[in-house]
Amino acid sequence: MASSSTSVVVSNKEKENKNTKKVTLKSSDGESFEVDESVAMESQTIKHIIEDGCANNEIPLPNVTSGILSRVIEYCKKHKEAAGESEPSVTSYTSNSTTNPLTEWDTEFVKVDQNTLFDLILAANYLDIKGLLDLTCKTVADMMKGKTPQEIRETFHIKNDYTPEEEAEVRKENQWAFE
Amino acid sequence: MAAESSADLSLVPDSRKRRIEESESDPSSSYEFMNINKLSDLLLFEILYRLPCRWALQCKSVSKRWLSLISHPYFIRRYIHHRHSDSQQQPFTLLLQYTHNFEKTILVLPSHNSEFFTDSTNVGLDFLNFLPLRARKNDPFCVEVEASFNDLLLVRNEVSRFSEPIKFCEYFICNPFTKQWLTLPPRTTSFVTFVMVGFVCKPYCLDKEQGCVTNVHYRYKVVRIHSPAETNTTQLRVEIFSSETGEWRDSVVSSPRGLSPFKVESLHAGVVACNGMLHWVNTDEENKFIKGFVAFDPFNDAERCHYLDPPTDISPKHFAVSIGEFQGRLRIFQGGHGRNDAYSSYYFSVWDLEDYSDAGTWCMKYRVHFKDMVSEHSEIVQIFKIMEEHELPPPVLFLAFDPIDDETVFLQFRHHVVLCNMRTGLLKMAGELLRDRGKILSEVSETLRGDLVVFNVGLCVSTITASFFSSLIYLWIHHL
Repeated sequence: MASSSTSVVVSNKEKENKNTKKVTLKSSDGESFEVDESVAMESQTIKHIIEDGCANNEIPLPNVTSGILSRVIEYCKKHKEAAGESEPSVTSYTSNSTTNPLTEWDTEFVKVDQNTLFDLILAANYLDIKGLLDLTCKTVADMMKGKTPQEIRETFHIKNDYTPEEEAEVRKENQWAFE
Repeated sequence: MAAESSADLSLVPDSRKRRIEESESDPSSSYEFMNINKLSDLLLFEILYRLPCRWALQCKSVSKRWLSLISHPYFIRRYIHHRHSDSQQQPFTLLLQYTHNFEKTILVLPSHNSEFFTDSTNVGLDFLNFLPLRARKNDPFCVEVEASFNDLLLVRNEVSRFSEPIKFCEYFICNPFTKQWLTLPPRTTSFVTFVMVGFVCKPYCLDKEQGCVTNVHYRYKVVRIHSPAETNTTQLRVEIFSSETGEWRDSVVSSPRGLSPFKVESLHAGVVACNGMLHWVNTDEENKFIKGFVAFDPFNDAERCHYLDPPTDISPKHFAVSIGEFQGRLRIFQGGHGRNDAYSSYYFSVWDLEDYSDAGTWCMKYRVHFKDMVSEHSEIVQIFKIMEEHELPPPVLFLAFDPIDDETVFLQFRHHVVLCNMRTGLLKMAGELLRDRGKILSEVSETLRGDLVVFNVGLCVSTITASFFSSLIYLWIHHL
């Protein structure tokens, strides 16, 4: 199922062909993005809009700014291309998806500042793109892993509203996790 | 974007941090930062689901909001569900118990995402130090990890007093992560009769909505199975401890077929818990053939057991059968060879039990020929070469089935623990057993070793249950 626009014959008449059908997405700040329908359908939200026949010309996405939307589209394009080309290999004991060729690309993709990362989480959630939500949330989780609660507070600017006694109490209850 | 510069404040000295934080919350500032505090509860959950248990628990002390979120039953349910839904992610640790220089040693093999940490891979019983065990010097068998279920271990401690001719067996059920444990009432045990122990847990109810087990209400049974005294016994003596009664009960289980006394083959294969039932191997008294398997469901029918015939295409005679479990199915492993006994004809096979009725319907899943195995490790290649030259059977012992990957099995080649992909024949190193005083452990696969026992300790799923719900064990105590 690799993208194969080259092997699809498109007649001069407008045939409804999924591979080349386009759809326009409009960001909250008014910018329009034209993308292949199949790429846009990586988003379940957009998929439902299209399938319900409400797509018309443009799909407005008032919750997503152009900056974030362009990144999301980049993600969807890349993942759509790669779908069906690689077979994930299962080796639970020794490694964790090291044979997935997208892993490197994904890792680069999420090397962004915190605000962008959280905006991507919001967008992935709103647009219902499981892979992107998974990737972004995992990235934040990985940022937390290995940090003490104080370090987590500092990294994410969370206010500590515990008194020292209260905090000690919470630690005690889950002693083993802190060792 | 102005946002970018303040993304990471951890390097900024406190006074400046305060000012930046103040300006962030200033409603008149034109750009609203998107940060973690602004995420909805559900989205914060999505992040927390992806943290290993230990770290998720530590997050309770980040702030009060986080404490209430992480402690919320909804979050806990969804956290467990998240673990279950991606079976590829479930961590596990293999514990291989053996004797080295007369001491009980355990080789710990964690999966890449396991949360079980020890200082070295070959440990003594130190990780069980939180239990009040009474160990005897030079008796490596007085403490034994008998069985496991999710992240719980059943540990047996045999105690005997010199003045008395009886032994006591103390059983502990413990969680090596949270270091919680409970002890069962001790049982007297004979010096003469072999007893095998099974440990099986069942949830009271499945949360139908979520489609997975979401809570702590497990009931369990610990079953001591006495070796039949003579061949063709149809009445099996058992002692069953039930969590629901908090007591041991002696009883007799009827078998539809005659059972034989436990021999080394049965003891080596052990008791496997699967589908809420216990399974063990029944061997032929005289010829040591594998006769069949016994399946016992102490929850639904404690008075009768089932009998399963072996697969019709099982290798006959002296090839031992090992039993295990893979994702709810009973799975067996047996070595074998072709008619000509030549080195090149050696193989092993794996069958899954598809159906318990009609004395069992089996399906062969894999047959792997040793001559087709490949490895990058020179030591393994060397071992094969030597075996081939001397026309010896491959020195292979079954250790365990990988609980996550259908295709992988753990095997022991001399003192190497090796992962074998049964589809491709690829062998990978997983670990090394300590050699006993320079000698190599078990030479030949057919030499059965009763003191090498293997457990899978599935992690994380029940770990969460245990921790978040103030321990699985705690709630069991309620039932005692």
